[in-house]
Amino acid sequence: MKDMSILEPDETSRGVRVLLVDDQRMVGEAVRRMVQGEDWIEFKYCQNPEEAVAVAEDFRPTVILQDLVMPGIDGLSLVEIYKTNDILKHVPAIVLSSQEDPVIKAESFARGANDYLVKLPDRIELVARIRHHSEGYIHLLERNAAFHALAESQRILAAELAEAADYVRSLLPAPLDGKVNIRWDFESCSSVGGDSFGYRWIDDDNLIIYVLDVCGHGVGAALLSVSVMNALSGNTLGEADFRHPGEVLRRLNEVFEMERHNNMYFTMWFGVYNRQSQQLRFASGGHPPALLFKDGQTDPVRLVTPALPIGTMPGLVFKEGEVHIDASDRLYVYSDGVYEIRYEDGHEMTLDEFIPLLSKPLDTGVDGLMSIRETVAKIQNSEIFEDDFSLVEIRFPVCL
Amino acid sequence: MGNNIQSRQQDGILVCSLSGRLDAVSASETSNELLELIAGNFVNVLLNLENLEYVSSLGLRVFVQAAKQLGAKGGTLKLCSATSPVRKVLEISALDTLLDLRDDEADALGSF
Repeated sequence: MKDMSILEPDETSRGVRVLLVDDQRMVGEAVRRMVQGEDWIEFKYCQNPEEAVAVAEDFRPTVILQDLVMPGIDGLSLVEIYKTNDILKHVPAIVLSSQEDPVIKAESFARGANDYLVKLPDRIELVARIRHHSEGYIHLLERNAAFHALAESQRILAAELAEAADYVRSLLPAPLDGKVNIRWDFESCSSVGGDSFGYRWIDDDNLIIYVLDVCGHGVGAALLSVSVMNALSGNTLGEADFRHPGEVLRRLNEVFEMERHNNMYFTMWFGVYNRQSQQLRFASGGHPPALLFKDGQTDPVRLVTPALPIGTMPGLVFKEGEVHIDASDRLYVYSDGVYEIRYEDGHEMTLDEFIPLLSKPLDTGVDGLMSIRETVAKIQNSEIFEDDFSLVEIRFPVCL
Repeated sequence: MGNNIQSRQQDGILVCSLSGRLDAVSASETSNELLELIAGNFVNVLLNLENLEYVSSLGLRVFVQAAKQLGAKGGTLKLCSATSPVRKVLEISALDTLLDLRDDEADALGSF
């Protein structure tokens, strides 16, 4: 709901507006004369206290001079009404009293008055207090308006980031069933990261699997990530043979040279599984190792070929590794966002600390992977990740 | 100069000690500072990583850009004294061999 006390910018630039609420016309005339020489003050007089709130809501004063004793309703009750009114609650109220009484003064402040003057005050003092309270109120309005504008721009930015994250998510592949089963869990970080991943059979025998992580966050990183993913899914990498991971990374390194992509680059792991030979060939560029759990073992084989991230240097060569896949093997590819979190004591989680989470038997399907993310979230005591969380699980069947 | 880099000269080599974290927040500023330092007459630069706690994949940009700038003028960038977590990031990026990561500063200085 909109805060009615936040005025539009032109309201703050209208200057000082003084509303006097007093049933005595003589007092109204006296105050009018006191301020009439001050052309920076716009003055309004309200004789009927029952109309005070409506007049104030319409006039939008920067300070209210409020008589204390009036017929029908007393001044302090009116002050309380102002302070619960959405439009008037922050407007300074100066009580005008005929008595110099500490008890009445204390009660006035207790019920919401901002100042207290014995009438009729000296003209210089009255003008000084009007200036002081009005300036404070106008500053408050300006601050509220700036805060409101900032909050609105943040809301729009957050919505745009969420839209970018949704778009990246929409490009991620559906779970794969059949000769090989693949599930994944992905959670975009609050500022949108640059993770993406994919897998597909490029022919009857070869399944490609990849994950990439653009270094940095934000829409720029997401755009590059999507560009790479489209290049890989649309076969637009020229002569690159997808059966050779090193060749794919070499070609990507040429196409996405960082100097031509706003100094952004990405880490990547790329693998090709051939179901006839049961061999998995892989190559990586600056990316953490894929983890291959052989049936029944808790210490995974780490699949990595050390090389610089993609795009960092021209002419990079990416060596390939190869491993035999056995029945019931499990393979995990992921981005470093799955473990680069902090424990509550401040120390960083390491890959070695993350691996035991995967070593335990996991439920098949997405639920098992989500339990990993939930465990990591508990460790960092937050469900909001600083980096994208991408975890892909490849389960090879019991009989290959 | 920011808090992440302390520099000195030794035997004509510019020795820069990095500290803290090289991540999305600090990488850009640290990279700019380092590039400014090595833009002078130095051709041999050693980065001492003893007090560097953490490097993200984005933080690798600091090393890559420095190596490129030095390489363009025929210079050499070397690294030394990496802590275990930093060493692991350098290893999977092959920067430990590409930039000649040495165990300690004396060894690194003697290798230029």
